[in-house]
Amino acid sequence: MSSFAEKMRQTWEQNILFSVLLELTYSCNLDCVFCYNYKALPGKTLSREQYLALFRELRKMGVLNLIFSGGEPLAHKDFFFLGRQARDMGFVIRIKSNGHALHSVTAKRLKEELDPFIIEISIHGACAETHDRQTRVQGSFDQLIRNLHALKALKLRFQLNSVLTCWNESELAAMYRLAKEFEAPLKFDSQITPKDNGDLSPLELAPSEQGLRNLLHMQLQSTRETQVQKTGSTTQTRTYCGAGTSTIAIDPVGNIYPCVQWRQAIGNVHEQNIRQTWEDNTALTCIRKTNEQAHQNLLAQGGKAAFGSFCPGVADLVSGDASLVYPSVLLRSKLRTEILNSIDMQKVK
Amino acid sequence: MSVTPSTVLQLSSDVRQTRLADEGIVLLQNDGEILVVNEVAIRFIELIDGSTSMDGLTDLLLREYQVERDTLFSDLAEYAQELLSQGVLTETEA
Repeated sequence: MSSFAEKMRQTWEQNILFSVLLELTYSCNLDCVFCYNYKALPGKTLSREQYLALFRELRKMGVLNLIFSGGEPLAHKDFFFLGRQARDMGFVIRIKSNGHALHSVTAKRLKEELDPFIIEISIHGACAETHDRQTRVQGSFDQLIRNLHALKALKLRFQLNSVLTCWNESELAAMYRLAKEFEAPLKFDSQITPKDNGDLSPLELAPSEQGLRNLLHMQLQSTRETQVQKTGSTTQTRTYCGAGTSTIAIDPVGNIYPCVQWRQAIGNVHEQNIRQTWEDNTALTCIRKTNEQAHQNLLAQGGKAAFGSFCPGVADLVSGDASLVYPSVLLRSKLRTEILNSIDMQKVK
Repeated sequence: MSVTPSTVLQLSSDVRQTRLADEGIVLLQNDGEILVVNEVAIRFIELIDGSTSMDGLTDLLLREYQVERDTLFSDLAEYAQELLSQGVLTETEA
């Protein structure tokens, strides 16, 4: 019998669609400084009926993970209706939310009606000053903390997600402590991305090299990791990641992308059945080849440290070539190597 | 409890499953456990609907696999017992 990891590799190798992320809406009750959504996206939003037809087809295709994202997914008028339908069809539901609206009544409803496997909640700092500065909504930190207590009381599984910025990089330890208080994992994204329309202004909040070093040090030391921290590829797979090989993302107007970061549309739900998009698609074939090339380019860098910090979608945005290893990956690779070496040295001593 | 021909099973409410190539993935949401099961097992799990008895499930699978009925029932009953103990299945009224 295969292991689950082997099955996941199989999805990449055999182009088996397993996870679909739905950006239900770009509406949001917060206004994060570095939000990558392009709110003026043209097109007609998908209807209830289109979502239901999509869900049915995805289930027939064997898709298990359905991820509701945004914007803020709870801001979509049909969020609960669609969530209930997805649950009844047997999907594993994941929700990416800012948590601001997840007060006890809504959280209880979420548990009863959607029964999500996990809710991924954004946190921007360890204190109100930093969190509210990034969300640009006064009181959002205090509200979030109240809501996290409600989620915990309801035994809803959640993890905290954060983007490392020059504003929160000095609060890393406190953020990890906060997460520990809630017994929730805290996942950092160390790469601020440009907006989906190519606007580079979010990069002004990029962390300093020292901030990045501190984060990597904490992550690597806490996991006592001496090998590749795998969020992306290993040397055993053909492609770098699952983008376009086991996952897709769909925006509110039906554009289909290989992943939420890689904004190269490969079809649109308004125009084409999802199975056709997945199985017979020249654009997707190109995406998969690019993904393979990205993997080769990373392998050519020699060190394994680059793995896990590269994203073809970001590469596409910053350089126009999704297979190109971009400068911040090389920086993270260098820092990781230095930190891993120093950890190894400490072990020897 | 023992699984008999008249036993009716249903999937636990926290179970999610899918077919993946020639095997199946079964997730128990509450404890986050993931099982990888073989082709016959995922077919068996797919057929469990909360109303068909073990006898009925055996008949359905007999149409798809060439095997002695007694052997199939015995294997299914043993497997169902295992899934019951893992919390994947619960027994229900017919």
